[in-house]
Amino acid sequence: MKENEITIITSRDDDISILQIIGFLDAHTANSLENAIGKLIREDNFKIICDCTEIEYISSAGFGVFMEFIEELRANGGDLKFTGLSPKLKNLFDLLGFNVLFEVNDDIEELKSNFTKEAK
Amino acid sequence: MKNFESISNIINWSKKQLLIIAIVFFSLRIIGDFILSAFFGYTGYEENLIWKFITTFLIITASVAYFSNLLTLDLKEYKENFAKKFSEDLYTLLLLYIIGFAISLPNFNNPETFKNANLPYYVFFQIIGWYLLAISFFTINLLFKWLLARKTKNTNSTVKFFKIVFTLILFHIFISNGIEYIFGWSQLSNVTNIVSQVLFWASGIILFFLPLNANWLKFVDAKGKKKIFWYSLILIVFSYTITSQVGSAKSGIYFATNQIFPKMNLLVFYPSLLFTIYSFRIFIISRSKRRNLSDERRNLEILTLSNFNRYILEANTTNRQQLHKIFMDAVLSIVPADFDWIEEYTNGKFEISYFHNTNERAIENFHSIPQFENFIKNINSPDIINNIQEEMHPDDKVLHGSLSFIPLFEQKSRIGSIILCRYENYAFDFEELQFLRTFADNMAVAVANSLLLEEAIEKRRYQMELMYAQNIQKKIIPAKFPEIENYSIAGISIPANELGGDYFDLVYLKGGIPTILIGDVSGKGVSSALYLAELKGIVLSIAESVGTAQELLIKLNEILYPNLEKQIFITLSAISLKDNAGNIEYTRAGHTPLAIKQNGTTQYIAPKGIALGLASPTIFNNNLVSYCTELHANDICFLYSDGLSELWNPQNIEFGEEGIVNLLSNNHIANAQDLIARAINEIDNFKSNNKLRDDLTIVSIIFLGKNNERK
Repeated sequence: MKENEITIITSRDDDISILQIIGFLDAHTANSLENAIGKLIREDNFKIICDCTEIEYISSAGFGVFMEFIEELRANGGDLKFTGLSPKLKNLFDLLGFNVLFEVNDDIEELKSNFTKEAK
Repeated sequence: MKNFESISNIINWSKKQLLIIAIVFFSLRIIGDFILSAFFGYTGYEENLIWKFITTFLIITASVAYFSNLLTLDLKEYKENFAKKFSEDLYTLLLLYIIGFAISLPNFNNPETFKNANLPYYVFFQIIGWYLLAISFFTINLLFKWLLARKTKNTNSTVKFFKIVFTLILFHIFISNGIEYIFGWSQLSNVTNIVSQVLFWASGIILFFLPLNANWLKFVDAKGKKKIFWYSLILIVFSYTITSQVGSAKSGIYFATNQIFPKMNLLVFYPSLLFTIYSFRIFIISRSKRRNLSDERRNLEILTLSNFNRYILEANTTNRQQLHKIFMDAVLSIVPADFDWIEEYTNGKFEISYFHNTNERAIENFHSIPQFENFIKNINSPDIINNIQEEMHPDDKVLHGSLSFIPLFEQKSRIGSIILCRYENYAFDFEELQFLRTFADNMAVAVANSLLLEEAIEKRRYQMELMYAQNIQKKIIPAKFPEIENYSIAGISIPANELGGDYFDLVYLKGGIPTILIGDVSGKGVSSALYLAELKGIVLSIAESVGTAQELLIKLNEILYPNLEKQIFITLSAISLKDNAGNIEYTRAGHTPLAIKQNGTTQYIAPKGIALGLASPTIFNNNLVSYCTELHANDICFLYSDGLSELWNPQNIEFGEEGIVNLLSNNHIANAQDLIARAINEIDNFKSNNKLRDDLTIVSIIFLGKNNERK
């Protein structure tokens, strides 16, 4: 995977959308993620799990994308949760304080069930 | 279009009809002559004049009508491709003359063959005469075509003159001679003979000098000239031979033509002699060693074109009206006009932006002609109106002359017209039109270029603005830290692009506590730089109202959280030098950890803290922790942005935290400035040819020891 390249695969599990982000998430590719999340919101999918297993790098502009949508998702009863963070990425989340703002869990099933619990 | 087709059909049809009529009359005549001679024994060519007069008159009338039809049809093609058509016609005529020469050769200087021929077959000899007469008609046709296709102000009078001359010759042959033969009155014949001869020589002189005035041959290229040279040379020989034979009473073809009607040889003699003179003139011009004007003119055109392009570049203008004026001046240098104007159509508004030798009323006058309006609206490339009265039928009979129209375009929309006018009809020639078309294409390119130029200027302006922004940014980041007792402090920030989003500074909190800040605005480029400036302003305005680094960050988040765009956040670390004995307070809002070297060991400190602008004050404050420690002599606090930790070498290995540890492990660091210099050196070696991916900022704080007072 080269720099400035990103692939986003969207899949569904019931009412939960899973975004598999592959590659570099930076100022150049942030737009793709913006479009992907924007599309989910337009289609009334507010429960999103980002699978970061294959993310190589997230820049500050990349983190900005998550911040851009979080309010809207939560206002609509949804959320943005993260799974598959590498230790390095986990460290970055912790440093920025994203671990405080977002639910991060390596167990994707738990994230899903948390979504269901929140709904009840 | 339909109308036009049906009209041309009628012309075609009647042309064919006329030819058939001429041939029918001709056959009647031959058969009649044969019958007369076979059964009534008439032999002399001076007999049966009434019969001959009537038949000849009918045949010639039909032929004249046929040729005038042919002329109208050919003329359009002739105008557009004169050089080619002219040499083609010369060639056809050449063949006709050679065939004429061949069939009359046995009769040359030999009237006996003809005279001794047996009755009634000798009447067939007149067919040779008729053939020569046909050539004469072709010749006259060519001369008229040549005159009309290159219309000048004198053309109409010249054509009129030639018509009079030919009518007079016809009058002389049929009326004067006819009267002489029938009634024996020679007076009229003598007068018309002299007059027609004088007029003939006058027309000969005109034809000799006309080619000199007209510039048409100057624009024939070298190859075409060579053709015309050979054709005219051969034509001189053959047309002159036929002329001399047909004019000589010793020749058989003299009798063959006069068999048609007495003195009919004149109708062959005069045109072919005229044509000999004309060919001679053409021959002289075509072999002239003068520089080829077609090349000369082309060179001038190219020069004008390139001058025009240079003008536009140098004028550096994107002003459309100015561009049009430059264009018009260039056009006028090649295609001069008596009066001219530029009109522009912007947003449906009609505006005359420039006029010369005319006035707005006159221009409106033109626009009041429906044909003019229609014409100007519908042209896509330059075009010509040769004769305003003939082609546009204005109510105003005073309007006359010819017009050139040049439509102006921007991208694909029509934005105006240039109109050139000459007082004479047919004043613009085809080469000028060709030039205008080339030039108009060039104009379109120039306009496109000027739009590009505009973009380039825009870009340049942007670069200038960027430069100002960079200068401002340099003022945001301190060039040098103030002296702080017992500390050595230095920092540097290298932006990855023109404008950076990294920040460092030293501010004094309440009670004068020096506090070193390092920060990084998320994202890149202009927006980051703007937020950076905003951050600096806020920091400066609140620093003296807060007592600790932690308070500073809380206050900053309070202000920034509601005011920053959702996707923007700022990471910031602050180190307060609480006293000059090494006690420090370190607070971190999302920023990279502090590398701290104490007692020779480097470790990373990252107390809890969310980046500024991400979380509401409640969450932010609850998650912000300060770290306090006491430094000893030569302990180092090393602050950096992620541009350093995430710096890559060509092998895609990160500089990382180990890199920083290695950097600090050196025991011979004299002062903070020295450490920065080493760091930069190290960074340069590491990244090799790689470009910086992100802004890179480092700040080093070295504690010099408790009682290290500097003088």
